[in-house]
Amino acid sequence: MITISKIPDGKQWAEEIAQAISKGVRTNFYASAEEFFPLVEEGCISQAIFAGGRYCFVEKEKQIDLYFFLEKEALPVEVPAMDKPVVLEQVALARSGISPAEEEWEAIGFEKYLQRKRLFLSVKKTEEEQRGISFCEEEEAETILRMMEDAFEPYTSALPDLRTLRKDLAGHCVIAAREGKKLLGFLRFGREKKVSVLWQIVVSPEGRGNGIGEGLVRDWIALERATSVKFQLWVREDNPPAMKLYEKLGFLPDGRIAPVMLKKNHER
Amino acid sequence: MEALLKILAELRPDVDFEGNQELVDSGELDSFDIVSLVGELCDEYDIEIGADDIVPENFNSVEAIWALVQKLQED
Repeated sequence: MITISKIPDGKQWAEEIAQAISKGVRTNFYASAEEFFPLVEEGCISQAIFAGGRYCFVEKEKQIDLYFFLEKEALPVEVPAMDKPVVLEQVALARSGISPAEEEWEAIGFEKYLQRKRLFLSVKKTEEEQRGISFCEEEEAETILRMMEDAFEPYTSALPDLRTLRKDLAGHCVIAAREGKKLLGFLRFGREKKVSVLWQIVVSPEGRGNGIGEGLVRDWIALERATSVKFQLWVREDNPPAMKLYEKLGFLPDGRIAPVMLKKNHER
Repeated sequence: MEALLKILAELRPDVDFEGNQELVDSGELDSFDIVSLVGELCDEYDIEIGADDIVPENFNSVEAIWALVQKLQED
């Protein structure tokens, strides 16, 4: 069994991670290690080093995120019992799947949880549309967060914290769908350079079946098309209605999938 | 170069690489692509891409990536 320890020196850790990536290890860590410095400082990251690789564990409110760095032939090693579920989220090409394969993670106690696929729409494929767009207000932040928490699974939905959400609201990055004053749905988006990314879209139960979701996506496209090269989003593969909506609007899969596996150690 | 074009086309069939000089700056290649690409290039060309070389300038165009590969092969 591996031994988990705190990271004593964030700078050295970042250098080791960069070195591992430069050698072409298999990993699900796509950020730069420097971005994780604050978490190292706060003591939220721990690690385990073993023959053939390394795990890093990032403790969050509801879960522990696992990042692996494995040499080419190395197999995943068992993760010790922890008091929160361990979440393993990866990004892979659909045609080649993840490496190590799912069976290798299942052999050490992980289970399939969900899978998303990425869709894109090139701006060149969109047409200008005049739409009356309304935005959510800053005082709606808590309502919006509650609607998100009710609508999405708790571990990997990239929900914002209240501070981030307030910033997005102030920056007009949350589009609203209303009936009178009542908020029936919203779409939160962000920008990754010239790519406009849909982060969350929610339609309240009483608003469903009225084209509100489609209207919000059309608003987003109309709003962002002048400043973007493409639109991008992740959709759960077990959500056919959403998939159908995006396909209707011209979105296509770009070959990227994100399977999520879970180890529920805490229930043992 | 042919192998590089094949790796890129398989990695991102949705991206038009020809003449594109801002693959990273525009956000069309993201960090997942870079990490995947580094692994593939190490395998294909038997090179190690040091952390100092993993910068946007080296991945913004096919030509820049190819220049990086050639430089590391000569080292």
